[in-house]
Amino acid sequence: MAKALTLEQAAKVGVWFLVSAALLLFGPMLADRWIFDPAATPAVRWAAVALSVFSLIPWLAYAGWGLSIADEYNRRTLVIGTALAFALAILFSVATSVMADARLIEYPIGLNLPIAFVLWVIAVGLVAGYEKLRGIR
Amino acid sequence: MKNRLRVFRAEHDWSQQELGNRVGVSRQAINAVETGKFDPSLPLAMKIARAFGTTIETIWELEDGD
Repeated sequence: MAKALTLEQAAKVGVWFLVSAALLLFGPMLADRWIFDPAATPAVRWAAVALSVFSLIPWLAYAGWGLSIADEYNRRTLVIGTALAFALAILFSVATSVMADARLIEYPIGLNLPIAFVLWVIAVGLVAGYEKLRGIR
Repeated sequence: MKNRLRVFRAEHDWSQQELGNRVGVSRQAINAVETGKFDPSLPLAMKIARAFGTTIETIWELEDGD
């Protein structure tokens, strides 16, 4: 990392991480409950949509901040990893769609948030691993 | 690009971490530059050269095909 953090800043970042991760997990869960409640009014359903979308923002801000403080080498790894994750997501969507057409599975598997997040972590990990192996001489 | 970063580091008896701290990047970044798998940006190359009290040209040189 290009910049060193003080203990107080590190504590704030840790709290931010926990809050944003909790929102990422529980925000859409709560929103789903409101959306699928048969008694929910349109206002409640709109609130659920807003909650679902806005619960992603702290996490995205956290990821953006991480990118902003990374040095140019680690930033490159993150950016290439993100691009790889995008390509993997397309392959995943096409594969499950064709599998459904071929009647191998009942429905295409949607790329939901947990799967997308795991895919991103795997992709960044693959790029970091590749860079590490490439450096061994 | 070929570089003589390892030589300069050895002359100054600096670890990769120490050089990284001096120029504001991680040890991994210095390692990647040193092993030639990552070409640094111009500002980073200038910071590294300045840390060693020399110029970019004495540390890096173009290879055939670059």
